[in-house]
Amino acid sequence: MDIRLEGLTKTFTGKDKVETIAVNDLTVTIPGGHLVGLLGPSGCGKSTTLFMLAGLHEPTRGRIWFGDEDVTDLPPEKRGIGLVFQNYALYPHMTVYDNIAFPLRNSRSFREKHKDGKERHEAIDQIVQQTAKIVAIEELLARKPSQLSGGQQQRVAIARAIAKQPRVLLLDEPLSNLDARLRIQTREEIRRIQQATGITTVFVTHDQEEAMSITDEIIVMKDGVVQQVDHPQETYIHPANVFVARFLGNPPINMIDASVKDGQVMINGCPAIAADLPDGQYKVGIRPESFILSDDGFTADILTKATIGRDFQVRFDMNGRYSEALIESDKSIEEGDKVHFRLRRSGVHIFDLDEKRIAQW
Amino acid sequence: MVGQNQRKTFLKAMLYMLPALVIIALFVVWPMFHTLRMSFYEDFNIFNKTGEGFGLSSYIWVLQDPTFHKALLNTFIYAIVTVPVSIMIALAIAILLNSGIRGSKFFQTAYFLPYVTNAIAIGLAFRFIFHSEFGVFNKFLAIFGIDAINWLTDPDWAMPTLCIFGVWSALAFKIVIFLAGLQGIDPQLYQAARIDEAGKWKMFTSITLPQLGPIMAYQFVIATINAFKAYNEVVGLFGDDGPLHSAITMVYYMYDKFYNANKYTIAAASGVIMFLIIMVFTFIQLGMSNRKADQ
Repeated sequence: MDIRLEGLTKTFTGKDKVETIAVNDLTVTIPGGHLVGLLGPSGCGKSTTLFMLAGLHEPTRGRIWFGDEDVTDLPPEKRGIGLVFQNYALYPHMTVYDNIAFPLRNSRSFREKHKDGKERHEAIDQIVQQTAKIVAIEELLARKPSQLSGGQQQRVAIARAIAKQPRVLLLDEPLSNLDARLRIQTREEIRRIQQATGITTVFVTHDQEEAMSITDEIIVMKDGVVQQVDHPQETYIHPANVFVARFLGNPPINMIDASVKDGQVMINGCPAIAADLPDGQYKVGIRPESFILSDDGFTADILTKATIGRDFQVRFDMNGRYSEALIESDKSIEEGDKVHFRLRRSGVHIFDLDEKRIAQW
Repeated sequence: MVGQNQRKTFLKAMLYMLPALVIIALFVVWPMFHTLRMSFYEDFNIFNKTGEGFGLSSYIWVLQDPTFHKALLNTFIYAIVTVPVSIMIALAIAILLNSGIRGSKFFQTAYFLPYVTNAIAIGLAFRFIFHSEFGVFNKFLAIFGIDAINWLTDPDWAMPTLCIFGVWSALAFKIVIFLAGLQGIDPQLYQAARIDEAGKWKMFTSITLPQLGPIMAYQFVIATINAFKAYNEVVGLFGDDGPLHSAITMVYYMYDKFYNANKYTIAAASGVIMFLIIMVFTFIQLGMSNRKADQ
């Protein structure tokens, strides 16, 4: 079942009557069975979008479709969704078992399907055990949330959300409260659970690495406006604009103002790469890994050097901006060296002054 | 060296606590001790602090006094009626105020006003409200064809009147405490419950009530202690202990024996009995709420 958002808009009116547009005319289709990441910096409207999908926020304009059903005016309890909150929002006084069983006990459709009280009780028990197994918390069912670690709480929250077999699973920054190691482990878990259940899943995050590593598709947002909808790798290789290029990748892309003259992009006064573009000013984005040490090419003074795993991360001045490059550490390079760089064909993007990408090698 | 440091810290701490300790010792511990001592005499001279006839005679006298039995019964009735009723009403009002209804700020202030108003003044106002001939209460009942009730002058109605007044005057504080408790509940729990298809009543029973657990226990303990200490309400409403002593409470009994009858040892003995009763009840309640919290 696909999810379609049509011209979805949400405005908030503050105390001083100032209107803030949190989500602006969002039109996007989320393919059924996929794990989709809503990615953007804080305040970009990604959580607001998720809460509109959940029905907890009412859109100001626009429609939300689950398949052929218009759910815009449906309250959250009738949408058949599961939501994992950022802080999990587990019921603190209930055991893990009761937390997972809670939505089933309330579900009207479930009660209609299992009219006999005893039979319903058994059906609930079976689902709770099954779900606990999927998220690997079978041995924790008798505990209270306060007796669990962050990662365990997170898995309970997912179990509660998927127990009622929702049409859509929504996750609001589900990994932000976990430490680095657990975060990597848990995001793989989420991927595994999503693939095991096949539920259409929307995952909100501000962490590009998180989004890149587990999603089928990324929706990049900024200031309530969608910037790019693409496969994770595509958003990195073919960023639609300066914002997307900057937001994805670590260390971030080097963005410089450069001119094109006689079909050449000028860097530090030296023609660096050929560009089939009219003369004029452009914005050029160069990934740190796209610099190659060379005997010719443009010159750069190395300001600092740091060893990052198998690479050196070096800092130098390029067209008046500090830029960073990743150089393989088998090359000898020292602070204060004057070196020559050439550019790889991949990872160099040229944007017009409106910050739209117009060319790439 | 460590020992010296510890002693230094201890002395410093004592210095900070000294003012409070002096005040507590002077106005709480010493009177308590003094009352306890006084209660074991048959007769006591409060001017030269000497007693006669050491023993349990005052206790025996109090426990055999029918007026004390009446005071004890009234106090229990007052506690059993007003504590749960006022807690239920206060919770309902707090939930209403917390639901963000129009003008909730105004109502919050309005409901808190009785708490900062003098109990005697409120009692006087209620005397008018409960007045059998001109009172608003009877006028209101007359709309439904109910005959005028002698709220303040009929001995049979004195306790119900006192309980109504007691519930009302206990509301303000409880509402404020419940409001604070309600605002401490994570609103995301309600959002999660909505998604989990819980209705309004289900949310109340499976989120609001359990989340208010510790506050509820606190309210019960404090309200029970306050109910056992009821005195202002009685005097405010009736000016004395009601028609034919029909609304006498334990504290009123104690006051009456001390100031009106000048039977100091009797007053002291009844005070000690009251102290023991309140202590036992508080321990039971705390024990119950602790056991619940452990589960």
